Amino acid sequence: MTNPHPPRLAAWLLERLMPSDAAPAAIGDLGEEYGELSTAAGQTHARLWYWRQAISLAWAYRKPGPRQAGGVTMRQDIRYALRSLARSPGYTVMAIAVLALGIGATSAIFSFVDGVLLKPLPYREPDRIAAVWEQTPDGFRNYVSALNFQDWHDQNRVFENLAAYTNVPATMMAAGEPVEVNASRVSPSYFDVFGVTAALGRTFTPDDGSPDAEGRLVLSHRAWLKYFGGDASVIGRTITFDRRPCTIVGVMAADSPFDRGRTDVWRALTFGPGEQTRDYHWLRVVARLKPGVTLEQAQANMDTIVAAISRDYPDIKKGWGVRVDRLADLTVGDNLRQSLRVLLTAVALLLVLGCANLANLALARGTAREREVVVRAALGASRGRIVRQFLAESVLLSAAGGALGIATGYVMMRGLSALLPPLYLPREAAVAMDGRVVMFCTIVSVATGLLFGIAPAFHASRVDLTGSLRGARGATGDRSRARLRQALVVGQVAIACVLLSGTGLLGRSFLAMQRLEAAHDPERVVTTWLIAPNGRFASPDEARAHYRTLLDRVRAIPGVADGALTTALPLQGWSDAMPFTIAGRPGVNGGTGFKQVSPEYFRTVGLPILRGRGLTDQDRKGTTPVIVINETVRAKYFPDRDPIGERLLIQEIIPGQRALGPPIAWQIVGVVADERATGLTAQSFGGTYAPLEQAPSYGVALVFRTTAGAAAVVPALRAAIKEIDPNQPLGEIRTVGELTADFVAPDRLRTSLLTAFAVIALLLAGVGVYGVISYSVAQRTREMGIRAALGAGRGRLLGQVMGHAGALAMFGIALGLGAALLLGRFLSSLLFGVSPRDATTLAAAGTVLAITAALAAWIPARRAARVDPMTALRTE
Amino acid sequence: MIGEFELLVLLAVLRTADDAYGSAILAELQSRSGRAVSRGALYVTLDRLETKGLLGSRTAGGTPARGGRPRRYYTVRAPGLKALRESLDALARMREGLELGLKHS
Repeated sequence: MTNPHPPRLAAWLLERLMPSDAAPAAIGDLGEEYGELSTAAGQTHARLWYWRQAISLAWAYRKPGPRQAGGVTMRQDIRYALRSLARSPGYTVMAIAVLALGIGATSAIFSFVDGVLLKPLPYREPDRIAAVWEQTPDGFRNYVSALNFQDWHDQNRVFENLAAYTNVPATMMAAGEPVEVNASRVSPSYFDVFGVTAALGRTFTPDDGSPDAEGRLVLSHRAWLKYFGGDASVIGRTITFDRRPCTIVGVMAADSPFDRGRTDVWRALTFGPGEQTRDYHWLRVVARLKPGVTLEQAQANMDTIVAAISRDYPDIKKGWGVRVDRLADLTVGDNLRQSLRVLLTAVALLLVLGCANLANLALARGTAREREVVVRAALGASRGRIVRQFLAESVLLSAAGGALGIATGYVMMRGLSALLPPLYLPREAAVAMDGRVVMFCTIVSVATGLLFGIAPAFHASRVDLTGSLRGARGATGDRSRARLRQALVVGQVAIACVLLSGTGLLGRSFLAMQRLEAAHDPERVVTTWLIAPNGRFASPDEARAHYRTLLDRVRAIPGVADGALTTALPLQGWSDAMPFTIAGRPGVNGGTGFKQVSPEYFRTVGLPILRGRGLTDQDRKGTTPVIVINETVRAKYFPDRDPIGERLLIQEIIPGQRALGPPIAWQIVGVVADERATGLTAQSFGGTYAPLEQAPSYGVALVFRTTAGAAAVVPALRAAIKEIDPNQPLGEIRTVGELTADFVAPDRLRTSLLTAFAVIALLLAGVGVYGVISYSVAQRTREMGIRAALGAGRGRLLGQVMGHAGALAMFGIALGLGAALLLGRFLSSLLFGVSPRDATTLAAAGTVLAITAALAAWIPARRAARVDPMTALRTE
Repeated sequence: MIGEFELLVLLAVLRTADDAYGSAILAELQSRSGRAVSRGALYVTLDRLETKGLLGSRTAGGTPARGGRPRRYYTVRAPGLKALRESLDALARMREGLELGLKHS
C-alpha cells in the first residue's frame, strides 16, 4: 500500500453518480487496482487511469429514461443557445472576455496555492519525514551540534534514517575558472530520508561516511548543465572542489526538489577534528520515521536520549531539549502562506464580481428577449425547458470562457513565476498548470456559468403570458427583476470596496516598507562575498594579513570611499547567535546576534555611533578585546546604567572550525544604532560587533561605498581581487539597494497584483452601476416625461436619478467597509506600519467608490434630465 | 435470448470462478476477448444480468487497500447457465457447415 489515497474527488463523484448498491464494490475495485498501478507505473499514471475508469463508470450508469430523450433536447438547447449567442456578438464577446480573465486569474493563483500549499510534498511517503532540532532552554528550535547528532543517530530507535546537513558556499574549478557554488554537506543517508535516487550515477552510500570519503560529490541537474554541459561522462570524474580533489558520483533529477532548491552540489558529510563538538550548533537534521512510528513516539524516544545528554554535560546542555516536527509543517513560511490566501481570496472575489456583472447583463438581455420567451411558452415550452435553455447559454459561455481561461491562466502563471525572486518558493513547490488545476478550472467554469445564469434564467421563465403578448409591461416581473439587479449592484460595490480597502492597506504598508533603508544611500553601498574554502588560511594571522592587504587594495580603487569587511551583510542576519553573561552580574544570562567587522563597517553602511566610540585600527590582536553593542542590547540589559566599560563574557568562536573556545571578556566601548540586520521590518534584534582583527573569521563579505556608482568600480574590483588571490571566486556583486529590492520583491509583486485586481473591480462596479441606472432611466422614460410635463425642472430629475444611484452605492460601500473591518484581521500579519482598521485608508476606498459610482450614474442621469416630455409620452 | 456482450460476460464469470469480482472479470474479458472493454459497460452489464436473475452475487472482504470497501463476487445462476447454453447452441448451429470459410478469417 504505497499510496492510500486515490483521487478523492473522483471517488466522491462516483459515490454520488452510481447507484448506492453498486458504488462501494466498484470504488473498492478501483482503489485496489490503483494501489497496484501506482506502485508499478507511478502515481501520475495511476491517477489518470483512475479518472478514466471513473468517467467510464459514471457514463455507463447515467440515468436512463427521460434523459435518453434529454440527450436530444440537450443538443437542441445547445444549438439554440449558439444561435442566440451568435445573434448578439457584443454580449457574447464581452461575457467570454470577462470569464476568461476571471477564470484565468483564478486558476493562475490557484496553481500557486496548489503547488505550495495543497499538494503533498513530492517525496516518497512524505508524512514519514521529520525535522529534528535541538531546543534551547528558552524553548526555541535551534541547530544541532555534531556530537549530539552522533548520539541521536546511534541511540534512537524510531528513525529509519537520520541525516544532518549544512549549507556552505564552496569553490569549484569548472573549465579552469574558480566558481562559487552553493554546496550542502549532507550525511550519506540524506537522500534516503527523502526516498530519492540519482537520475545519473548514484547518491551516497554508508561507505561515503568514512573520513576518507569526504571527496564524493552529487551534482544538481542545474549545476550539471551549467558547469559540465550536461555531459554524462562526468560520473567518476575527479575535479577540484574547495581546493582538494573530489569525485562526482551522481546527478540528481531535473525539475525535482533537488533541482529547484538552492544547492548546486552535495558533498558527503563527515566531521573533521575541529567539528566534533557539542556546544557549537550548526547542523540541520531531517529523518525518516520507521514504518508505523508516530511523531509523538519519536518525540518521546528523543526526549529520553536528550535528557541523558543534558545529565552528562550539565555545563553546556542544562535545560536543552529536542523538537521533532513533521517536515511538511515547516516547508511553507507564514508570510507566503498568508499572501497566497489573500491573493486567492481577492481573485475569487473578483470572479464573483465578474459573475454579478454578467448576471446583470443577462437579466437585461432577458428583458429584451421577453417576447421570444413568451412565444416559446405560448407554443408549449415548459418553464423548466426555458430555464434549461437560458442555462445552456450561460454554461456555454462559461465553458468557452473557461477554455480560454486555462490558456490565459497558463500565461499568467508563467509570468508570475518569472517575476518571483529565485528560490522564493520552497523547493518542494511544483507550480504547474496540471490536471488538478485544469480540473479546478473546469469546476469553476461550470459553477460560474450556473452562478451568473441561474437568476436570469428563472426570471426569464416567469413571464406574464397575456400581458406581454398584448404589449403591456409585465409589471410584477419587472419590479422583482429590478430589485434583483439592484441587489447585484449593491453586492458589486461592496466587493469592490473590500478589494479596494485591502489593496489600500497592503499598498500603504508596502510604501512604508519602501521608505526604510537597509544602509544609508543604499544604491551606493556595494557588497560581495569572498568565499574561503576549508584550508584556505593556515592560521588566523594569515587571514588577518590577507584582509589588511585586501582592504588597502580595495580602498585604493578610484571611486571607492569607505570599505569594510564583515561576517554578515545587512538584511542577511547575524553570522552567529551567542549566549553571554555580564561580568559582575551573575544573574544575567543573555543572548545576542554577533558579527565580526572591520572598523569602517559602521561608516560604510551609515550606522551612527550613539554613545562611546566605534571600532578602530588600534583594536587588534594583543590589545584589550573590545565590542560595540547595538541600541536594543543596551536598552534590554543596560536600561538604567552606562554600558561603556562593562564587560560581556562571550565564548571565542574558533576560526575554520565548528567549535567554541573559552569565554572572552569583551569590554563595551560603544553603542551603535540598530542595523536592519535580519530584515526591513523585523523587530530589532539585539546585536554586538567585535573587531575582525580580534575575532578573525575565514568567511567574510566585502562592503564598500562608492562615489562614482557601483558599475564603474566593478572591473577594478575584480582585477584587484584576482591579483591578490587568483583562486578567489567572486560572488555576485550587488548594492544594498539591490539586496533590498530582492527582499521586498514578493511584497511588491503581491501589491501590484492586488492593485490590478482592485482596478478591475472598480471598473466592473462602475459598469454595474451604469447598467442598472441607465436601465432604470430607460424604464422610467414615460414617468420622467410626465414629471417634466408637469413642471419638474431638470435639476430635480437629475437629482432624483443621482439619489437613486447614491443610495445603492452608499449601501454597497457601507456593506463593503463593514466586511473590510471584519477581514482586516486576516491581513494584519502582512501589514507593516499601518493598522488593519486604518480609518484613512478605508475612508479613501469608500470615497473612490462613491466617485466612481457618481461618474457611472452621471451619464444616464443627464439623459433622464433631458427627456423631452412629448417623445417620452409618445413611446407607449 | 442474451446479447453478445452479455454472453462474453457470463463466460468470463465462469472462467474466473472463485475469483469472479469486477476487476478480475474485466481482466479476463480483456485478455481473452482481445478487445478493449470499458469498465462502465462491464459493471452495468453485471448489474443488468443480476436483475435478470442470470447472475447472483455476494459481497466480502473490505481490505485497507480497498478503502474498506467490499469485493462483490458473482456466480452464474441456473437460469444464466441455461441462457448461456441456448446462446452457444444457437451459435454452434449457425456456424455449422461454415467451418471452411471461417477457419482462415
